[in-house]
Amino acid sequence: MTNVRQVQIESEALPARPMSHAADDATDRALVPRWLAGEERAATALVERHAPALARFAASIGVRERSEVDEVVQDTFVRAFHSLAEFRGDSSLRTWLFTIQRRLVVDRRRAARRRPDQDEVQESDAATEVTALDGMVATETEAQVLAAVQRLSTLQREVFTLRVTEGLSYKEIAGIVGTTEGAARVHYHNAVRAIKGCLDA
Amino acid sequence: MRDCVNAEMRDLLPDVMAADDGISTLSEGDRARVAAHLSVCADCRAELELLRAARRATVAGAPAVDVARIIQALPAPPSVERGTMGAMRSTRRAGQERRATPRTRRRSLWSAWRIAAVISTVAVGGLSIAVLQDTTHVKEVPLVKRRVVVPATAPAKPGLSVGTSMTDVDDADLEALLRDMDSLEATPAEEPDAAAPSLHALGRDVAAARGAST
Repeated sequence: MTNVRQVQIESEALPARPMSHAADDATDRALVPRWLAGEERAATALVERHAPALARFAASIGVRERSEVDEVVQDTFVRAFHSLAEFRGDSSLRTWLFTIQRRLVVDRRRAARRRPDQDEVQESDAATEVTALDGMVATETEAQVLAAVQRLSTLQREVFTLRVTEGLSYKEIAGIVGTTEGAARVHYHNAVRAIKGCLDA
Repeated sequence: MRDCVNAEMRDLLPDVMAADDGISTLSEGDRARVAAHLSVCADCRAELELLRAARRATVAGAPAVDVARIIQALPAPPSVERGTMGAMRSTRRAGQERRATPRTRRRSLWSAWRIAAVISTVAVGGLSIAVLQDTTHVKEVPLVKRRVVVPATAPAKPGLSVGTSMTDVDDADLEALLRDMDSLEATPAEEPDAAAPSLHALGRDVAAARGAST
């Protein structure tokens, strides 16, 4: 009973806004062994903590339909929880989840390419692609920025989202997208330049 | 909107946003340097505002996910799974133990039957051998061989092994001889004696003798 209450308190105490880093890591590292020990409420806390970030990331890497975002996020958690006992903690749990999700999306795209009736998602489609990131935005500036973000290439958009929205380091981003730290930095700065260009146009 | 020439400061701008959330990803020294740079760099301030707007937009525009559905789809914790599997295995073991008792009893009963069968076979076999051995040692019943004794002086007649002339034998003797012969036929079989007289020939001789005497 004490453990359940602790999970609830921790879950409620965490803000829904993007978080990362040491504090998050410590909480995750406490929740993972509790779930492994059989405390199913720990899974609820983990999902509530990371599902919004995974949904944002799914949208940023070109998952277009909301229902598809939901499906991808769910599949990511299912796959992650099946392997959670093997999670070594070399990276943060969120970074690990992003890596799983990205691989999942890439696999889905490959499968879609093999089906002729499915539209193929190309890097160059970014300018015309309608992503799931089309929700309500508070200001016109934000709407313009969001439109500019959606015009980025998929790689630029995912690097930008991971850096700006999720606050990951270049090293973490490089691990997720499968590139070098330097290349991640270049992609980020190119993305910022492209957004500025879009807003200035 | 222009880019600041200080790439290091621009690299750290997203970390300043993390600081907005109360999360420290910057060292105290870096935080002080960035703050000092922002106070004098309009381009970096503008870029920081752009990044904040982008962040707000992507967070607000992100699709909501059904957390409850995700949780339902998750696998059970390994310890619970192990517990369930362990319980299943225990149940299976208990079942095997429960079954083991009658099976063991059946096995012991079967063993008893087999032992009894072996003993019976040995006993019957031994008895049979004893009976057989006993029958092989039964005293032979001596056969009574009755032979007709005839005088050695009588001349031998061809066709008769008896070796006496029928002319020397009267009717009474012949009839006694025939009776003896009949009784000889009733005796248990023996290998025919090549020296024994043929009954048919003997009968013919007797008939011929009767005819001659008349």
